[in-house]
Amino acid sequence: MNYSSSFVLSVAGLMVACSGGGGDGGSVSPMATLGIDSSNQGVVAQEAVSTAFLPLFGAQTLTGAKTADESVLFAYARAQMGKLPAYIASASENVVLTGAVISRTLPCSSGGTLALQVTDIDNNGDLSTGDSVTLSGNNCIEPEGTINGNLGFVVDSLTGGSFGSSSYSARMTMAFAGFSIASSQFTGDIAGGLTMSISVNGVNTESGTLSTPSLSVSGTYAGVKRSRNLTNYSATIGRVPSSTYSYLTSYTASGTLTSSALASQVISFSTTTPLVSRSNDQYPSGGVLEITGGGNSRLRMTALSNTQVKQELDANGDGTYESSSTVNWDTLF
Amino acid sequence: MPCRARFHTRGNIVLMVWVAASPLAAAADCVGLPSSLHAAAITNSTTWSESDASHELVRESGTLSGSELSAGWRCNGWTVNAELAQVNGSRLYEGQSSAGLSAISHSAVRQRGLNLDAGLAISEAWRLGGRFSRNALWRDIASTQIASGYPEHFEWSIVSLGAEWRSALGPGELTLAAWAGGGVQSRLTLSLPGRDPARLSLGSLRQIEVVARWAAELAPPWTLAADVRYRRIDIDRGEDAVISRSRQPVGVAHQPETRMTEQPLTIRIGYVF
Repeated sequence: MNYSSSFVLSVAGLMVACSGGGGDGGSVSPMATLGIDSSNQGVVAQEAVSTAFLPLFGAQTLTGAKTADESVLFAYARAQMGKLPAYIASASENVVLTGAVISRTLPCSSGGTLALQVTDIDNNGDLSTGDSVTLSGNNCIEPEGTINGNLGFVVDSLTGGSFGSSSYSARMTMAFAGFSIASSQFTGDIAGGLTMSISVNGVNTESGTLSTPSLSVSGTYAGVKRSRNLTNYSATIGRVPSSTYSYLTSYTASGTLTSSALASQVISFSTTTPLVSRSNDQYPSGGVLEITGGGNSRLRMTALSNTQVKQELDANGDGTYESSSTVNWDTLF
Repeated sequence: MPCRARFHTRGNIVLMVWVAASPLAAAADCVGLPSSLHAAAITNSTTWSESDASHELVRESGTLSGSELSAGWRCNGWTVNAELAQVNGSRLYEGQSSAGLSAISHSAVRQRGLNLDAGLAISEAWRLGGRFSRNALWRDIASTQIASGYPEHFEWSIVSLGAEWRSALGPGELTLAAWAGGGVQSRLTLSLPGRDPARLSLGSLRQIEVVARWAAELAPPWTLAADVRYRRIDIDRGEDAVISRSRQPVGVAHQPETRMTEQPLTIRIGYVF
């Protein structure tokens, strides 16, 4: 995978993560705001960071044991997004009606089916403005798990070159409806929609945005459910060449989060300084994320290196961080 | 032929208890000073592969080296052996990240095994026996630029049935043996980065082993022996276990279908009382 497509998929991953939410577009019932204090700062930091940034620079582990969590939803959507040009191309074969909706049913690798509804609006066989693809899993068994529900893509605009090439601009929306991936002890659900834009202007010169009014992601682990809901979420990702590190990638994110791990109370987060990671690092080595809770309590996360983060707490909201500790990045994802 | 059945089936519990009991009973009969003591150097060419739904996820290969201490007893027609071995080393890791991206790394491996076997001679050349093996394996996968590694600790016990054939060969004696058995206990302790340690159950486990050994007297009471073995252990896919972070569930994990192959070469010096 080249940098360009990798970047696209990262943005796609963020989109999916964001879209996992509510699905009906932004109506949020009033919830209590969680006061951040010394007893909950660890969980608050973990929930905020993992929810806001996991899709952007997803923490990965090497396979020894095989692990699964809600990120499998993002990984599957990323993979399908990469296949959009092929879906458009294959659906347009032997079709003469411009703008017709083509339905196909594909067998899955270990059982079940994946139904495709493809609209190649100009019938040119290439992914272009106005095209759409909807995938519907019907007990579709793939290595990721058993897939059910709908995952839809609409290309709002695509200019300057073909999708995934070294120069193009695109705006897409992605929608999930009852979409789930399940294995024997795990079910991941995601619902909602999000909007993505991306601009690629050569190798390692790329930028993108993601936004959603509301999305939720949930995972059920051996009967124990974890749910997260993001509202008014927006994020950016940018990549520039670097003479020292090949390239640098910067991230921003802001939004409001409720989580079952936070007793379904609300916190908000925002990057006050973009997080920046070097090409070969798993985690950012610079940048600041600020998390705000009830009573203006705050938790400031400052990247110290590509492995460690300084975590400062202002529990009483007086603007002074009264305690500080250092945690490893990998404990936050 | 390998004992394929799951350890928790009734018939196999009976069989395995009998197999495990035979060397123990023989050993109890043979309490006393051993008739021989041995020290050995081992070099073990190993492979390790993991797969899900017939799709290979990980392949590791490398040579481990270490040592072995063993003792033998002879009494009442029984031959009893106890072996304690440890090997260490590194294996090349060719696998993938949790996001499915290809990754190359290495694993630091330490393996410790205890074998207790007992055999009863049924003719001058043939001996039948049972063996109980207890194994522990520490595997630490090194992190790469794209993904974090982590340590794992496997433990398993196997009971086996075997047959052995001996014949004079040159100035020494040639022994050919074969063992087949199944797991009676196994588990994996997993320490994923940033997660609480988790204990996973492994699937049913089977082992086959063939041995060729040549032994001769050096200068009485000293002996020299060399053996080559081929050992294969197959472990079925384990059940999903919940992974937590600060006691909050954040994922599941299982050990994929796993195959270990080992080809240890052992050079053994013995002292016969």
